[in-house]
Amino acid sequence: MRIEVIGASLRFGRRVVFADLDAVFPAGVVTALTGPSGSGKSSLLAAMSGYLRLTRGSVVTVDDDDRRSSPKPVDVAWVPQGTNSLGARSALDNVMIGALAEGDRLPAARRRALDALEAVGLWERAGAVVRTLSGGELQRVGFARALATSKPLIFADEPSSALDAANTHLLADLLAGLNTRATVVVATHDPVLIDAAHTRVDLRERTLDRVDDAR
Amino acid sequence: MPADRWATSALVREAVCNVASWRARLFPVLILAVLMGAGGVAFAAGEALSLDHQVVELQAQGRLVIDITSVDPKRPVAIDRTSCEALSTQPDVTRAGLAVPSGFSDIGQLGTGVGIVAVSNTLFPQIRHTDVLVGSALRASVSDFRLLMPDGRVAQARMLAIQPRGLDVNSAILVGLDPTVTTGPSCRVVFDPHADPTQVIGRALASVQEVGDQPLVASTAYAENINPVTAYQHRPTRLLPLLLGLLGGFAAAMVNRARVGELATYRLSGTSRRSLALLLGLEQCFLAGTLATAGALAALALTAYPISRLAASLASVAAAAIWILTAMVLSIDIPLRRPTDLAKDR
Repeated sequence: MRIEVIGASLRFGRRVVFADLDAVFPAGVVTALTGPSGSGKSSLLAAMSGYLRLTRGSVVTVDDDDRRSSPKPVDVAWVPQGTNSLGARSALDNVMIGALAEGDRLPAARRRALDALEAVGLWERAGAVVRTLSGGELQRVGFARALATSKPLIFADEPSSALDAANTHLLADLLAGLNTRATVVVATHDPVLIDAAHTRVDLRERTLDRVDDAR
Repeated sequence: MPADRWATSALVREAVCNVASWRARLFPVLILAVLMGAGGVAFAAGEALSLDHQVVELQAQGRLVIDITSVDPKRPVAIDRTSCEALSTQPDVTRAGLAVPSGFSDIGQLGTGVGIVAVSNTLFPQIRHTDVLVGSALRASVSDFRLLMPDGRVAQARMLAIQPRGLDVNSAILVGLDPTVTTGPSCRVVFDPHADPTQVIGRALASVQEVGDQPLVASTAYAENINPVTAYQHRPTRLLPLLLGLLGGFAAAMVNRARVGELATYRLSGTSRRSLALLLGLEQCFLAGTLATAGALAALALTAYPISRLAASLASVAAAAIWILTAMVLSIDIPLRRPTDLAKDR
């Protein structure tokens, strides 16, 4: 699923977050959405999820059959900034949530969650209580939760904000090797993650700066 | 927002895991629910027991013990025995019957000038199983003994427990009233200690028939200023279950506010507002249901306490309903908020 941002403007009161932004997020690749803090990366992700209404302009999702529609939250798996998780539950329980929300029965959701945990290298930690995981492992649980769903869009908001350098590199490796058909957008200003992404959209420049296969 | 496809059974599982796991943030609230449910009923049971002790103590002083007799002590009345004894079958009457003073005698084993009172077996049912009942003030060393009566016969005697003031028999011996006696000068009535004196005394007085046209009066040895049962019924603490429900619901809502970052996980994983609201509701139902169950179990366990099991259980259910209502009203904005905002609100 491709995302097109057309003449998008957003303001909160008198403060302009971004204006007249045009961007395309290609289907099935990892795009880094870059810009300094406060440039509106999280807000643009929220608008592309259908959680936030733009002041002007529009966001359109285009599926494989070229059908265009407005963004729907139900299409999005979100990897939040920081460490949102069910702290008292196991990593497996946390990853199963997305699959259960899609109507999977427990055994099927468990299978998908284990597959997703394997994809992020956490299969052996499936039974661990999330509260006992490191920040890096927690972030990978967030990605696994997104991967366990069959959603066409995966958005990650500053996934390395709470990580040290070693864990950031692990996350970058994960992004680089991500084997998914979903369109992945990572809002970040971390050079390591930007390098790991396949393309880049820089909000400050308000232009599309596509870097084919950044690596 | 389009609906998700959460199965209700999966949401129930989530609710149970989010509450019952000892690591869960809501687990302390679950413990609170158990303590509130059981504690609320235990407190009510303690209050009921205290009332019970109070009314029993007051009855010993003559409360709700009446003597129906002539208005004019100089003009004795003849109260119909049948109507007097029939009072014992009325609601709120513990026992009632004639008490006919039958003079004084010297009884070697008990002393000189001992009063003898002939009583109905509806007033002292123990008289059906023995010849003589001995007032508690006369002798207390053994409960059953043989008593040499003034007429020379040996009677089987049994000690009587201390009787309330107003019956005036603690220093007398009681004998069964001859079946041929059809009237007496005094009808004595002992009511249920929890009865309302303003209602039951008048009803008893109206039910007693007198042979003749003398007016009757019901006198009591205890002058009451405050009815302890009425005071109990209007005590502020009767609203305690509702207060507990309110506090529990408030506590649960505060914990919900502290875990919005966790709840964001659901929303950001494709859970709709409706399903998150349902999940929160299920969690509160589980917590409040625990309170109600703990209350009902406590009511069943406190068998020695004078409480209504049904009333105590219903009070717990009312507390649970208030809990759910309070928690949901105070948490209703959480599913309505933007999930990305919830995620930042850690």
